Amino acid sequence: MEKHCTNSQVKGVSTGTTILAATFNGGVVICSDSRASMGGEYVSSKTINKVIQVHDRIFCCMAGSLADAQVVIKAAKYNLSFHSVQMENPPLVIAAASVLKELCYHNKDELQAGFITAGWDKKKGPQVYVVSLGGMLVPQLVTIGGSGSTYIYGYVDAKYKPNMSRDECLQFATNALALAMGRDNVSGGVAHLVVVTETGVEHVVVPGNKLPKFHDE
Amino acid sequence: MALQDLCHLQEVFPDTDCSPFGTRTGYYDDGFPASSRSPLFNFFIPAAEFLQESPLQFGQVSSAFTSQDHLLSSLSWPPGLPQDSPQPVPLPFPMSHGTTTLAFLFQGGVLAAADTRSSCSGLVACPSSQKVLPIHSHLVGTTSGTSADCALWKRILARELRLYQLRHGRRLSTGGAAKLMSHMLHPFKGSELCVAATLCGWDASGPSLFYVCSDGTRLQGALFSVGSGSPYAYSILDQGVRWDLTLQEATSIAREAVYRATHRDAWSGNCVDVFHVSSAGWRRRGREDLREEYYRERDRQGGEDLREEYYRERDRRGGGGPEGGVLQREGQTRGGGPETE
Repeated sequence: MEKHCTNSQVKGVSTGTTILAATFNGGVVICSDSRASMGGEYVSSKTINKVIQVHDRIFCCMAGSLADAQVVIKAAKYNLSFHSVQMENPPLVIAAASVLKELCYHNKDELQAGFITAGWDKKKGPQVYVVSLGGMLVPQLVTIGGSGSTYIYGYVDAKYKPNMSRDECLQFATNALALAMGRDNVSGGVAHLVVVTETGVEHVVVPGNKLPKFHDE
Repeated sequence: MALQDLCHLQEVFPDTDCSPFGTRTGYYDDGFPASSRSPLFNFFIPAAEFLQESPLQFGQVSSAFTSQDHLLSSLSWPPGLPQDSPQPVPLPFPMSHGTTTLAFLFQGGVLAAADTRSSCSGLVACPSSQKVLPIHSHLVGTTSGTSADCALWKRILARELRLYQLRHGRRLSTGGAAKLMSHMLHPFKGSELCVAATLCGWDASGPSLFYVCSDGTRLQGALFSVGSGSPYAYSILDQGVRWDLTLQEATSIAREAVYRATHRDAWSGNCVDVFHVSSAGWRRRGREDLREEYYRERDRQGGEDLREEYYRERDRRGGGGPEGGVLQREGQTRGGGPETE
């Protein structure tokens, strides 16, 4: 097949993953697969959770080098809790994203990790931000990342509508993850979905055998 | 060459004993199935007359290779490997392999679709090329890879299938055509030749679909998408394709998959061709410009950029602070002062 498909391996340290975050009416859904692989040949873990909580209503997904991402998120968590104590208010989602962005931008030579930050805050409601590899910060309504994301660009473009209901958005996210896991060899396992709204946080785990099945299964 | 075959052929019936062939060693008889003395790759290679030299030598073909003598000597040439491998001649310009093609089986036969953009070194060489080529009345092939190679090899395949039909009185099956193509491409393995085709046909066993690639892959399947835009098309196909689709639904899924792929992939674009192969043969749907599809979708969604509307709505609800773009707000919040709610 074409050479572009193996780009994620050429970069060297990709986790191989599929991550997605989408806003709906009243909240966000942030989700990921659960496979950690080494070199595209060995699955080192089938059940890691790539959705990390950095504050009560703010979550991050990591893509790229797992080691870099864990370190950056740990530093971000510390910064953010300090910031929220200073502000005497829960931090804004953009504050969390900015903290990650600062770390990624000022250490861009050493790090190779990108993030999706999503959450809910009182000021702007549900938001999704993408911090890419070099440190660019972009707000978006829906975003996908990781090696498996190439296989679902078409689906996300076609099926995502802003202001869906919670259940529609959950179904959309689960379908997208299932499609990506079906085509990408370094994404798989279970689907971790986190729904963040004003009232709380809900973690939904969809095991492999309960994922939606498509034509070839 | 074809005419000579016809004139000399008395053994056209496939179940005739093959012993008369023993006396015709000098002649160029191709792969009759009963011929037991021919090893796997003495199978007929139609481009054999060019293969005295390494296929890696681009375009260097001597004109002496048209006589019978060279056909004879080409038989004894050990097939499958170029004899000498000099350093490859550099290509005249960088070839591009950008395209989106797809094909899948359903109850009404086989549906094949492709975009129409031919790109080369970052520009669109042709916005209206044809990537789904009919080979015979019940076989259609999608092409991906280098356009020139694909066009040539499709013609060679069409010629060989026609010859087979004339010699044997029946058409070669889709699987047979795929195998033939795969074996014809084998001597070029390792060279810059790039052909990734899906053969969609209806034969005696019904609809079937094969993927054949110049690196040697030959796969039978129910759904394939090939080209730089294929990852983007796969998600649409995976969630939409079922066996019991009607022709209308299948066409619309194929069109949408190509449309989404052209939206994301820089090397795919312009128009979409859709072909349908059924027991009655292939039929082609009129070529459609995908630019229209883009505008139609935007109009369906309300005719304005929904993202702008969403942010405006959210800013209005979020309360506090002067109006302005998102960027202005970010500047404010990073400053930190708690706002009165």
